[in-house]
Amino acid sequence: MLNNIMIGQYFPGDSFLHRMDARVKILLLLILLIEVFAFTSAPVYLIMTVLTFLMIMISKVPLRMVLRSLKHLWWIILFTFVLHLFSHPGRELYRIWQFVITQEGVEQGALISVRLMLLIILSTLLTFTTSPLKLTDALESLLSPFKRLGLPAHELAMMMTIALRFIPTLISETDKIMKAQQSRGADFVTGSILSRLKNMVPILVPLFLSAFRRADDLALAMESRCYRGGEGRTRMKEMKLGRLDYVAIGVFALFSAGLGVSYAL
Amino acid sequence: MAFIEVKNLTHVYGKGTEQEFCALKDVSFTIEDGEFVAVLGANGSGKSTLARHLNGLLLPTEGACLVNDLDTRKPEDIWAIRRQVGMVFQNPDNQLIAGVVEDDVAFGPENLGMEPEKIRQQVTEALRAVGMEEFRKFAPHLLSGGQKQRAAIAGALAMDTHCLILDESTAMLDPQGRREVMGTVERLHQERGLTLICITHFMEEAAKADKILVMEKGQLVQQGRPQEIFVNAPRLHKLGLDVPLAVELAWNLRKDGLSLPQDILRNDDLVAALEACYVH
Amino acid sequence: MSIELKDVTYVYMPKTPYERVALDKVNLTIEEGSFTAIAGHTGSGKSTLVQHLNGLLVPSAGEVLVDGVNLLGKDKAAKIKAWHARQQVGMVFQYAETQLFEETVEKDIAFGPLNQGLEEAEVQERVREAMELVGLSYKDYKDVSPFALSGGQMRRVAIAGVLAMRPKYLVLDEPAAGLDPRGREELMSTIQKLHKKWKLTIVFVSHSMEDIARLADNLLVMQTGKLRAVGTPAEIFADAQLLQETGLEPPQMMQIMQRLRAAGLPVNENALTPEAGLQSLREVFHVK
Repeated sequence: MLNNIMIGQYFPGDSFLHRMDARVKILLLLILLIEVFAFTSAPVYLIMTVLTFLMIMISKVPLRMVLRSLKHLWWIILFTFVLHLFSHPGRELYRIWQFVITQEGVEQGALISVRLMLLIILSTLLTFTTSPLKLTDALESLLSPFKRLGLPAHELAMMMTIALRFIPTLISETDKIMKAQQSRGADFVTGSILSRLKNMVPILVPLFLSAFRRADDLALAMESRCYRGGEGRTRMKEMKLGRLDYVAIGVFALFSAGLGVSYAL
Repeated sequence: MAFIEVKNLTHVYGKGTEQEFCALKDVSFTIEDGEFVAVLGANGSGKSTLARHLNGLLLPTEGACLVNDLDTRKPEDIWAIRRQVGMVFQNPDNQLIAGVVEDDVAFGPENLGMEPEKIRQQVTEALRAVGMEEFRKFAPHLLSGGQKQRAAIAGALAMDTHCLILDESTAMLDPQGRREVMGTVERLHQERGLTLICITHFMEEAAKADKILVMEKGQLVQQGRPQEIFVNAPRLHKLGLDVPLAVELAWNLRKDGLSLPQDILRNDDLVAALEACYVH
Repeated sequence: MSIELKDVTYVYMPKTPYERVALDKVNLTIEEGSFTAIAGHTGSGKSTLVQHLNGLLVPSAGEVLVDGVNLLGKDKAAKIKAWHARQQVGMVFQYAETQLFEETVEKDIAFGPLNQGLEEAEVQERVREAMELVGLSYKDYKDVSPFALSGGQMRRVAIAGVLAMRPKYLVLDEPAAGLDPRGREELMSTIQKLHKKWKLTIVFVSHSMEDIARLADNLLVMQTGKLRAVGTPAEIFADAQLLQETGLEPPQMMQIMQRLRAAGLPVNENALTPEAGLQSLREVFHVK
């Protein structure tokens, strides 16, 4: 039953966006997100939306899949929109008892909703076009300057790699343990929340024990293969900026400059 | 000079605590370069503890373990030892580190600080050696047990391993996976002279070795060629071990008075001997 | 009385890119009192099949009947009947020791009976009985933590946990996997005893043709989600073409006998077990 969960949301492909260096993608995304926050205006958001759709088209990820990432967040967007409807003083459009919907409220609500959707879709586009592995490597590389401040960049990245590797294994393990306990008459579906929590013990205990066992085994396997931390370690897949990345950075810089200027005017 | 030399090796877990347990007691043997050695023994006889000394995952409480004249007790030697002696463990799910096969095979060479171009060569070559090139981009959880173990072997080969220890690496596999893994390591043993140390419960695998070590309660109780070890079937049964079916049958028929040669090991040997016996 | 599968089809992850037909119109009957083995390649659908026997998986099409009761109850009364029918089928998974979770052996084995809603005294009696069945002394082991036991003993505790629910049918998925030769031998004879002495109907999935030849009286062969053949082990192992197509090998003993036969020795080429083989060889060579 747990097999139905999809792991990650990487959509393998060979588009311009897929081939870009993951570090560049992360940094450009960050700047883009800051711009979305900094330049709150309808024309800018219009341009941003067009840009986003353009990028989705370039990535060749089906639009339907991208929009699905909003699925669980619709109600948050809706809630924010409704909140804004009533909370801005201005020209009255409609009145329900004491609550007033204003022109400004509608405009603000719409802008904020678009902002939220842009944030989500742009971030999703990163995970859609970057494999979790590349994402991990890129994070390690981007965080490595902070090692001097005591940030364990390599260790964090290694933890993420291992976590990603073991998610499918642990899911199938959970499935098996649940079935074994169900065969012994365990019930995880009915009862109060408290009793349901209590009923999870026969799943959680074996699962933790097995996770510890796996961790032990894995530590031995890593030591056997000469692992001794990030020191002196090289990587098979070097991250190098290609022509593609410079083009992307250039185009992006022009776009941002234009955006900034038009916003200031 | 022997490739591996174990001298009066004793290992005590939790020394000085209440759970103090002596897992290995005064074990000595040598393994030659290019030899195929099988280690037999019931669960808890100290086989895995022994294996873990051979690449310095565990260090001797007493005695020594030398690999190619390097000493596992010397911290400066340990990485050279682990590079030469690769280990494949029992559970195929718990030894692949990366989310893609080729990245996993690259893990060892990366730890050794090889140049990226060199790593790519090593990975390609190692995957070819175990017949896994087509699975290069696969995620481990999409592989069969036998394929996972072959990927783990490739991970050791990519470090230019000279000796491979299989610590019950076929125990959790189905017959096909077992054939895949044993076929691969036997080929590597023959073609490249890879030293092979195989801890196993499958007597048919042990019968192919040059030498067998038999462990009981932390002690090395017997060592010799398979023919010498298997000749005494009841003794092995007493240690909780099997003997190959051909050996068992030959032993019984010999006891009944049929004169069969002493060195029957495999089905081929038995069939040939019985044929010869029948004609006369 | 029996377990019956009628046209059972199971589609794995339907309507996704991973959709796969894991079982394809399987019809079979497991008679009460039989010792049935299921063989087939990894991925042939054996594990999916056994998980239908106690309703862990619900067929995409077709039905599963235990003693005539459909495991998928439609209304409330039928659901209660189905629940009772499912309790008749005990399920021991591969590496069953991974399901242990309690502080003591006794508590862990009591988990199933307690879920069945039995009285304290009855539960204790059942735990004692189940432990004796798998050869663990109640007195010596009941207060021990299951995690302090050896691998073979842990597996016995897990099996006892299923037996304590007093199932009529016991399904085991590769019960001896990963054990050393002595552990395998002890466990397989325990299972044989459960069948002979305690009259449990046994269904076991195995890759060991030796175990199948020695123990089973009925053999189901699965191939790519279909039930390919049913028969006694002797019948199945005699069908060379079937074995080749399904990637199975006859037991070692039979392979030796067949080669001797081909070389002109008048041995019994259908000897499945070492005992039968040895007997035939003794006759041919006039010893004993």
